[in-house]
Amino acid sequence: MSMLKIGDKEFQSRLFTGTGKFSNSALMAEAIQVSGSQLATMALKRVDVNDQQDDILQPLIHAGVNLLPNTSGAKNAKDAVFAAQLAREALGTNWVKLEIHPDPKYLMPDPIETLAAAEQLVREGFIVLPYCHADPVLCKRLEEVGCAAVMPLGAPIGSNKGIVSHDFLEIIIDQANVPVVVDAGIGAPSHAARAMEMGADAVLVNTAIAAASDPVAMAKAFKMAVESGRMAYEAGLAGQVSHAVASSPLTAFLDDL
Amino acid sequence: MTPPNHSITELNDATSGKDKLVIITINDQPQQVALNANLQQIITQFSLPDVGCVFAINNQVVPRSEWASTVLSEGDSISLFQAIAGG
Repeated sequence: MSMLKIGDKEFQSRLFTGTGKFSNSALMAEAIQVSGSQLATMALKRVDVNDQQDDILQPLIHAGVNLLPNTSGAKNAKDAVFAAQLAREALGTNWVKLEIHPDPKYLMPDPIETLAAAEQLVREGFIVLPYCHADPVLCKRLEEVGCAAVMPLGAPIGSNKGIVSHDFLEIIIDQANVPVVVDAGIGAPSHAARAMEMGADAVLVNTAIAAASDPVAMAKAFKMAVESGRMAYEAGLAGQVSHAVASSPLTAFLDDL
Repeated sequence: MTPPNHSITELNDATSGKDKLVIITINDQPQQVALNANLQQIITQFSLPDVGCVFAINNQVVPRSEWASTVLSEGDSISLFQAIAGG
Protein backbone atom coordinates (compact mmCIF):
# COMPACT_ATOMS: atom_id res chain seq x y z
CA MET A 1 0.00 0.00 0.00
CA SER A 2 1.19 3.50 -0.72
CA MET A 3 2.54 5.75 2.03
CA LEU A 4 0.67 8.86 3.06
CA LYS A 5 2.61 12.11 2.98
CA ILE A 6 1.46 15.19 4.88
CA GLY A 7 3.77 18.17 5.07
CA ASP A 8 7.28 16.78 5.61
CA LYS A 9 6.15 13.51 7.23
CA GLU A 10 5.38 10.11 5.74
CA PHE A 11 2.93 7.76 7.38
CA GLN A 12 2.60 4.04 6.92
CA SER A 13 -0.60 3.99 8.93
CA ARG A 14 -3.61 5.86 7.64
CA LEU A 15 -5.36 5.65 10.98
CA PHE A 16 -4.93 8.75 13.12
CA THR A 17 -6.11 8.50 16.69
CA GLY A 18 -7.40 10.74 19.43
CA THR A 19 -6.24 10.32 23.01
CA GLY A 20 -9.39 11.53 24.80
CA LYS A 21 -12.04 9.59 26.72
CA PHE A 22 -9.90 6.55 27.63
CA SER A 23 -10.42 5.36 31.20
CA ASN A 24 -6.69 5.65 31.93
CA SER A 25 -3.49 6.60 30.15
CA ALA A 26 -2.00 3.07 30.14
CA LEU A 27 -5.05 1.78 28.24
CA MET A 28 -4.85 4.75 25.87
CA ALA A 29 -1.18 4.08 25.11
CA GLU A 30 -1.76 0.37 24.56
CA ALA A 31 -4.74 0.96 22.26
CA ILE A 32 -2.85 3.49 20.19
CA GLN A 33 0.13 1.18 19.90
CA VAL A 34 -2.05 -1.74 18.78
CA SER A 35 -3.85 0.52 16.28
CA GLY A 36 -0.51 1.12 14.53
CA SER A 37 -1.36 4.83 14.49
CA GLN A 38 1.59 7.16 13.95
CA LEU A 39 -0.24 10.41 14.69
CA ALA A 40 -2.25 11.09 17.84
CA THR A 41 -4.12 14.22 18.85
CA MET A 42 -3.78 15.99 22.19
CA ALA A 43 -5.36 19.00 23.82
CA LEU A 44 -4.03 21.78 26.06
CA LYS A 45 -5.50 22.78 29.38
CA ARG A 46 -4.79 25.36 32.04
CA VAL A 47 -3.00 23.54 34.83
CA ASP A 48 -4.47 23.37 38.30
CA VAL A 49 -1.20 22.91 40.19
CA ASN A 50 -3.13 21.45 43.13
CA ASP A 51 -4.98 18.88 41.04
CA GLN A 52 -2.71 17.47 38.37
CA GLN A 53 -3.64 15.09 35.57
CA ASP A 54 -1.95 11.88 34.44
CA ASP A 55 1.07 12.52 32.27
CA ILE A 56 -0.10 11.05 28.98
CA LEU A 57 2.83 12.36 27.01
CA GLN A 58 5.59 9.98 28.06
CA PRO A 59 3.86 6.76 26.93
CA LEU A 60 3.12 8.31 23.54
CA ILE A 61 6.63 9.66 23.05
CA HIS A 62 7.96 6.27 24.17
CA ALA A 63 5.80 4.56 21.55
CA GLY A 64 7.22 6.86 18.85
CA VAL A 65 3.84 8.37 17.95
CA ASN A 66 3.84 11.83 16.37
CA LEU A 67 1.81 14.36 18.30
CA LEU A 68 -0.92 16.50 16.80
CA PRO A 69 -2.01 19.12 19.34
CA ASN A 70 -5.47 20.51 18.80
CA THR A 71 -6.90 23.94 19.52
CA SER A 72 -9.94 22.54 21.29
CA GLY A 73 -11.63 25.16 23.46
CA ALA A 74 -10.93 27.93 20.96
CA LYS A 75 -14.07 29.86 20.12
CA ASN A 76 -12.55 32.13 17.49
CA ALA A 77 -9.48 32.57 15.31
CA LYS A 78 -7.60 34.60 17.91
CA ASP A 79 -8.00 31.89 20.59
CA ALA A 80 -6.98 29.21 18.12
CA VAL A 81 -3.80 30.99 17.06
CA PHE A 82 -2.82 31.45 20.72
CA ALA A 83 -3.57 27.77 21.45
CA ALA A 84 -1.42 26.71 18.50
CA GLN A 85 1.44 28.90 19.67
CA LEU A 86 1.18 27.41 23.17
CA ALA A 87 1.11 23.88 21.79
CA ARG A 88 4.16 24.52 19.61
CA GLU A 89 6.15 25.60 22.64
CA ALA A 90 4.80 22.85 24.92
CA LEU A 91 5.27 19.95 22.55
CA GLY A 92 7.97 21.13 20.19
CA THR A 93 5.88 20.56 17.07
CA ASN A 94 4.58 22.99 14.48
CA TRP A 95 1.77 20.60 13.56
CA VAL A 96 -1.68 21.65 14.68
CA LYS A 97 -5.19 20.29 14.39
CA LEU A 98 -7.11 23.52 14.00
CA GLU A 99 -10.54 23.26 15.53
CA ILE A 100 -12.82 26.13 16.39
CA HIS A 101 -16.26 25.28 17.69
CA PRO A 102 -18.08 28.02 19.54
CA ASP A 103 -21.12 25.91 20.46
CA PRO A 104 -20.54 23.03 22.90
CA LYS A 105 -23.79 21.22 22.13
CA TYR A 106 -23.08 20.24 18.54
CA LEU A 107 -19.38 21.19 18.31
CA MET A 108 -19.89 22.43 14.78
CA PRO A 109 -16.70 23.96 13.37
CA ASP A 110 -16.90 27.70 12.61
CA PRO A 111 -15.88 27.94 8.95
CA ILE A 112 -15.17 31.68 8.91
CA GLU A 113 -12.95 31.71 11.98
CA THR A 114 -11.27 28.47 10.87
CA LEU A 115 -10.29 29.92 7.50
CA ALA A 116 -8.96 33.11 9.10
CA ALA A 117 -6.94 31.17 11.68
CA ALA A 118 -5.63 28.75 9.05
CA GLU A 119 -4.32 31.60 6.95
CA GLN A 120 -2.49 33.17 9.88
CA LEU A 121 -1.07 29.90 11.20
CA VAL A 122 0.27 28.94 7.78
CA ARG A 123 1.99 32.35 7.64
CA GLU A 124 3.54 31.60 11.04
CA GLY A 125 5.00 28.35 9.73
CA PHE A 126 2.53 25.85 11.15
CA ILE A 127 1.53 22.61 9.44
CA VAL A 128 -2.21 23.15 9.65
CA LEU A 129 -4.78 20.35 9.59
CA PRO A 130 -8.18 22.00 9.96
CA TYR A 131 -11.24 20.18 11.28
CA CYS A 132 -14.09 21.48 9.15
CA HIS A 133 -17.48 20.79 7.70
CA ALA A 134 -17.74 18.44 4.76
CA ASP A 135 -18.04 21.55 2.62
CA PRO A 136 -16.26 21.19 -0.72
CA VAL A 137 -15.92 24.95 -1.24
CA LEU A 138 -14.51 25.52 2.24
CA CYS A 139 -12.08 22.63 1.85
CA LYS A 140 -10.83 24.14 -1.38
CA ARG A 141 -10.39 27.53 0.32
CA LEU A 142 -8.47 25.91 3.19
CA GLU A 143 -6.23 24.18 0.68
CA GLU A 144 -5.64 27.48 -1.13
CA VAL A 145 -4.46 29.26 2.03
CA GLY A 146 -1.86 26.53 2.51
CA CYS A 147 -3.33 23.89 4.83
CA ALA A 148 -1.35 20.64 4.67
CA ALA A 149 -4.52 18.54 4.70
CA VAL A 150 -8.23 19.00 5.30
CA MET A 151 -10.21 17.12 7.93
CA PRO A 152 -13.90 17.21 7.05
CA LEU A 153 -16.35 15.59 9.44
CA GLY A 154 -18.21 12.36 8.71
CA ALA A 155 -20.82 13.20 11.36
CA PRO A 156 -20.88 15.31 14.57
CA ILE A 157 -17.96 14.72 16.97
CA GLY A 158 -18.49 11.70 19.20
CA SER A 159 -21.83 10.81 17.57
CA ASN A 160 -20.60 7.48 16.11
CA LYS A 161 -23.09 7.95 13.26
CA GLY A 162 -20.62 7.14 10.50
CA ILE A 163 -20.19 8.70 7.07
CA VAL A 164 -23.32 10.83 7.10
CA SER A 165 -21.64 13.42 4.87
CA HIS A 166 -20.89 10.81 2.18
CA ASP A 167 -21.92 12.72 -0.96
CA PHE A 168 -20.01 15.85 0.05
CA LEU A 169 -16.92 13.89 1.06
CA GLU A 170 -16.91 12.38 -2.45
CA ILE A 171 -16.72 15.85 -3.97
CA ILE A 172 -14.03 16.95 -1.50
CA ILE A 173 -11.93 13.87 -2.26
CA ASP A 174 -12.40 14.36 -6.00
CA GLN A 175 -11.27 18.00 -5.87
CA ALA A 176 -8.52 17.93 -3.26
CA ASN A 177 -4.84 18.38 -3.98
CA VAL A 178 -4.00 17.85 -0.31
CA PRO A 179 -4.75 14.74 1.77
CA VAL A 180 -8.33 14.37 3.01
CA VAL A 181 -8.64 12.99 6.53
CA VAL A 182 -12.19 12.08 7.56
CA ASP A 183 -12.48 13.23 11.15
CA ALA A 184 -15.35 12.89 13.59
CA GLY A 185 -18.39 10.67 13.62
CA ILE A 186 -16.67 7.41 12.65
CA GLY A 187 -18.25 4.93 15.06
CA ALA A 188 -17.38 1.51 13.68
CA PRO A 189 -14.58 -0.10 11.69
CA SER A 190 -17.00 -0.47 8.76
CA HIS A 191 -17.41 3.34 8.69
CA ALA A 192 -13.64 3.74 8.52
CA ALA A 193 -13.40 1.14 5.76
CA ARG A 194 -16.11 2.95 3.82
CA ALA A 195 -14.27 6.26 4.04
CA MET A 196 -11.07 4.61 2.88
CA GLU A 197 -12.81 2.80 -0.01
CA MET A 198 -14.12 6.19 -1.13
CA GLY A 199 -10.55 7.38 -1.42
CA ALA A 200 -10.08 9.30 1.81
CA ASP A 201 -6.37 9.48 2.57
CA ALA A 202 -6.80 8.75 6.27
CA VAL A 203 -9.34 8.73 9.08
CA LEU A 204 -9.15 10.09 12.60
CA VAL A 205 -10.83 7.99 15.28
CA ASN A 206 -11.15 8.62 18.98
CA THR A 207 -14.48 7.91 20.69
CA ALA A 208 -15.20 4.69 18.81
CA ILE A 209 -11.98 3.17 20.18
CA ALA A 210 -11.83 4.88 23.58
CA ALA A 211 -15.46 4.17 24.49
CA ALA A 212 -15.52 0.55 23.26
CA SER A 213 -15.90 -2.21 25.85
CA ASP A 214 -12.44 -3.41 24.86
CA PRO A 215 -10.54 -0.43 23.43
CA VAL A 216 -7.42 -2.44 22.58
CA ALA A 217 -9.33 -5.02 20.52
CA MET A 218 -11.32 -2.22 18.88
CA ALA A 219 -8.08 -0.43 18.00
CA LYS A 220 -6.95 -3.55 16.17
CA ALA A 221 -10.29 -3.83 14.39
CA PHE A 222 -9.91 -0.24 13.16
CA LYS A 223 -6.35 -0.89 12.02
CA MET A 224 -7.56 -3.81 9.89
CA ALA A 225 -10.54 -1.90 8.54
CA VAL A 226 -8.44 1.08 7.49
CA GLU A 227 -5.87 -1.15 5.81
CA SER A 228 -8.59 -3.17 4.12
CA GLY A 229 -10.44 -0.09 2.91
CA ARG A 230 -7.29 1.48 1.53
CA MET A 231 -6.26 -1.74 -0.17
CA ALA A 232 -9.70 -1.96 -1.79
CA TYR A 233 -9.45 1.63 -3.01
CA GLU A 234 -6.03 1.05 -4.51
CA ALA A 235 -7.21 -2.23 -6.06
CA GLY A 236 -10.02 -0.35 -7.84
CA LEU A 237 -13.55 -1.33 -6.86
CA ALA A 238 -15.67 -3.00 -9.53
CA GLY A 239 -18.48 -0.68 -10.64
CA GLN A 240 -22.11 -1.07 -9.63
CA VAL A 241 -24.86 -1.97 -12.11
CA SER A 242 -28.61 -2.16 -11.52
CA HIS A 243 -29.24 -5.56 -13.18
CA ALA A 244 -27.76 -9.01 -12.57
CA VAL A 245 -24.55 -9.99 -14.36
CA ALA A 246 -23.68 -13.69 -14.08
CA SER A 247 -20.40 -14.56 -12.44
CA SER A 248 -20.56 -18.15 -13.59
CA PRO A 249 -20.80 -19.65 -17.13
CA LEU A 250 -22.82 -22.66 -15.79
CA THR A 251 -26.14 -21.12 -16.84
CA ALA A 252 -25.44 -21.81 -20.50
CA PHE A 253 -24.45 -25.43 -19.74
CA LEU A 254 -27.73 -26.08 -17.93
CA ASP A 255 -29.82 -24.61 -20.81
CA ASP A 256 -28.32 -27.18 -23.21
CA LEU A 257 -29.60 -30.19 -21.22
CA MET B 1 -8.95 38.33 43.67
CA THR B 2 -9.10 37.20 47.32
CA PRO B 3 -5.83 37.89 49.11
CA PRO B 4 -4.21 34.90 50.85
CA ASN B 5 -4.90 34.46 54.56
CA HIS B 6 -1.35 34.91 55.73
CA SER B 7 0.79 37.98 55.19
CA ILE B 8 4.11 37.83 53.45
CA THR B 9 5.80 38.93 56.68
CA GLU B 10 4.42 35.86 58.43
CA LEU B 11 5.63 33.61 55.66
CA ASN B 12 9.07 35.14 55.82
CA ASP B 13 9.11 34.59 59.56
CA ALA B 14 8.06 31.00 59.09
CA THR B 15 11.07 30.32 56.94
CA SER B 16 13.46 32.18 59.27
CA GLY B 17 14.19 34.65 56.52
CA LYS B 18 16.24 32.12 54.55
CA ASP B 19 13.83 31.47 51.68
CA LYS B 20 11.66 34.49 51.34
CA LEU B 21 8.32 33.84 49.71
CA VAL B 22 6.18 35.96 47.50
CA ILE B 23 2.64 35.48 46.29
CA ILE B 24 1.98 35.25 42.58
CA THR B 25 -1.06 33.97 40.73
CA ILE B 26 -0.92 30.95 38.44
CA ASN B 27 -4.08 30.66 36.32
CA ASP B 28 -5.77 33.11 38.70
CA GLN B 29 -5.01 31.03 41.79
CA PRO B 30 -2.68 32.57 44.43
CA GLN B 31 0.48 30.52 44.98
CA GLN B 32 3.56 30.97 47.18
CA VAL B 33 6.88 30.85 45.42
CA ALA B 34 10.41 31.72 46.46
CA LEU B 35 11.49 35.33 46.05
CA ASN B 36 13.18 35.69 42.66
CA ALA B 37 11.96 32.28 41.50
CA ASN B 38 12.06 31.82 37.74
CA LEU B 39 9.68 29.86 35.54
CA GLN B 40 11.92 26.80 35.43
CA GLN B 41 11.75 26.68 39.23
CA ILE B 42 7.94 26.79 39.10
CA ILE B 43 8.01 23.54 37.10
CA THR B 44 10.23 21.97 39.76
CA GLN B 45 8.29 23.35 42.72
CA PHE B 46 4.96 21.96 41.53
CA SER B 47 6.44 18.68 40.20
CA LEU B 48 5.21 19.34 36.67
CA PRO B 49 6.55 17.40 33.70
CA ASP B 50 9.13 19.44 31.81
CA VAL B 51 7.83 18.39 28.41
CA GLY B 52 4.25 19.32 27.66
CA CYS B 53 4.08 22.46 29.80
CA VAL B 54 4.08 26.03 28.59
CA PHE B 55 3.82 29.46 30.21
CA ALA B 56 2.18 32.61 28.96
CA ILE B 57 2.33 36.10 30.37
CA ASN B 58 -0.24 38.61 29.12
CA ASN B 59 -1.33 36.12 26.45
CA GLN B 60 2.19 35.93 25.05
CA VAL B 61 3.88 32.55 24.99
CA VAL B 62 7.15 32.48 26.94
CA PRO B 63 9.72 30.48 24.97
CA ARG B 64 11.32 27.64 26.92
CA SER B 65 14.71 29.29 26.39
CA GLU B 66 13.52 32.23 28.49
CA TRP B 67 12.17 30.23 31.44
CA ALA B 68 15.35 30.45 33.49
CA SER B 69 15.69 34.18 32.93
CA THR B 70 12.04 35.04 33.59
CA VAL B 71 12.07 35.99 37.28
CA LEU B 72 8.83 36.41 39.20
CA SER B 73 7.96 39.26 41.54
CA GLU B 74 5.20 39.72 44.10
CA GLY B 75 1.82 40.05 42.41
CA ASP B 76 2.84 38.67 39.01
CA SER B 77 0.16 36.80 37.14
CA ILE B 78 1.11 33.94 34.86
CA SER B 79 -0.76 31.35 32.83
CA LEU B 80 0.41 27.76 32.78
CA PHE B 81 -0.85 25.14 30.35
CA GLN B 82 -0.22 21.44 29.98
CA ALA B 83 -0.83 18.91 27.22
CA ILE B 84 -3.65 16.55 28.14
CA ALA B 85 -5.63 13.82 26.38
CA GLY B 86 -7.98 15.03 23.68
CA GLY B 87 -9.48 14.18 20.32
